[in-house]
Amino acid sequence: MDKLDILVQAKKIPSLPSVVMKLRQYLNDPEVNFDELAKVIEYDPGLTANVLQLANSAYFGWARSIKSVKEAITRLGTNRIFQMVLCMSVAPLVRKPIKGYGLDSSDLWEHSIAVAICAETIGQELGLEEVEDGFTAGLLHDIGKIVLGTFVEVDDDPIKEIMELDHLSFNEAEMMVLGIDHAEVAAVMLSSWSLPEEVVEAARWHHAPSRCDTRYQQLADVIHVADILCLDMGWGLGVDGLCYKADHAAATRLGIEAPVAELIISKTMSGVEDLKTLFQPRTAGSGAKHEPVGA
Amino acid sequence: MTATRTDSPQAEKHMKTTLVRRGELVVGKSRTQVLEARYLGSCLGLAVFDPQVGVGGLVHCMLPLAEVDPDKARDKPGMFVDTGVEALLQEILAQGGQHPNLVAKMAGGASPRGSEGALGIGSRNEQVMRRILEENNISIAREDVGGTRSRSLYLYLKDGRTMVKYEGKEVEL
Repeated sequence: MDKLDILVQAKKIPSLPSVVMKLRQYLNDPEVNFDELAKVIEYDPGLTANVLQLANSAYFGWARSIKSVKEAITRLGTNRIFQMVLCMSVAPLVRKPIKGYGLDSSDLWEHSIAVAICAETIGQELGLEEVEDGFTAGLLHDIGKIVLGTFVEVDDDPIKEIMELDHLSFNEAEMMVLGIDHAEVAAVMLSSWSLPEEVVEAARWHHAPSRCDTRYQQLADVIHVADILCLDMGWGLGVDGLCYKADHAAATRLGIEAPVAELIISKTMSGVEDLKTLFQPRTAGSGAKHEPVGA
Repeated sequence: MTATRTDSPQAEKHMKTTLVRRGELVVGKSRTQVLEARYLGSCLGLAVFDPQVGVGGLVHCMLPLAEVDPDKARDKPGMFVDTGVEALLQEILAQGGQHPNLVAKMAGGASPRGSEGALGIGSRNEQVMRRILEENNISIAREDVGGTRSRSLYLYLKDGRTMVKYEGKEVEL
């Protein structure tokens, strides 16, 4: 298995559903027609039910008072609606065992939503205006692991061996053994899905934000810090565990200090608890009318 | 750490494992119960046991000090080292534990390499844990803290035995 084979596999992963990309276009339209936007979602009854469920969740919404898609768009904004639909579309991809990284079926999903929430919280707590895509980039930053960990089932033994011998981080060892790491695989996938350049670059440099082009560095810094904090808290620890390098310069550039970092983790914990419940597979006999969100 | 085991706690007959999730604490006396704090990255697991009375508990602390989010600390005291340790000790004493008998063991507090300043959660957790235990006149009998290793910590309420699991290995603490 070499870099070329991996890239071929990465490009074979089906793109996100077309509704995600349609909603993305609406995000950039200041004169968006809410009726038209609502119709895009209402075309799919399952999606509509899930949007309403998320719109009434503690994290995304207004606690059980939103009754229609249009009301959800009006009250929560197009960006929130996009985030919800993105969550539903990404969940089936990452909510499965990622064998090559020793991740159980919920681990990568939990890590992805934790980093998304944490990145958004960093933006809010630090008043960063340019990290609108923090949630999106956080949700997708590790998507490369599904290629290396499931589709090509990379053998992690030589990676771990070289990591220990040469005191490398896990992604550096991936690069040595495979010629590519999960961050670059993610960037290739997100680019082929036509996601914005800053989301692609934040995924590419989430383990080395100081090497990111300065145009996109703030988002890369946010995702790096969010990723480190979420690994610290044990969200999504696999065979790679904590074997990464924290880039303190990213925290310094963002101006983040210890008490703020701890408050961000505390708030992230609340968000993860809210969202995890919504996306948990329902047990038989629960009386649920719909599939779990994102199933 | 003194011995290597290959069998998992779950494999032991009649044992029931209770997961102590992030920010939670569990105290009990059941001789068939095993408490488990899983995926301790920078989080600290503290196991405290009274071998005379047979009562003990485990707390899974995420952050050092409750002052960063007092509302959350009221809701989930186990989330923070300072309120978590106090709550754990109170509950053990409430269930009949005697302070002079208490044996404390801890694991966790790891960090990715280069974690410092705002990102040094693991070492801040460890510092506060040592201070709070000292203030409560409790010495640490055994520990496995720091480094880059993610761990799980188990406490057997049958006899106070504690095990640490990492990278597929399990050792007695």
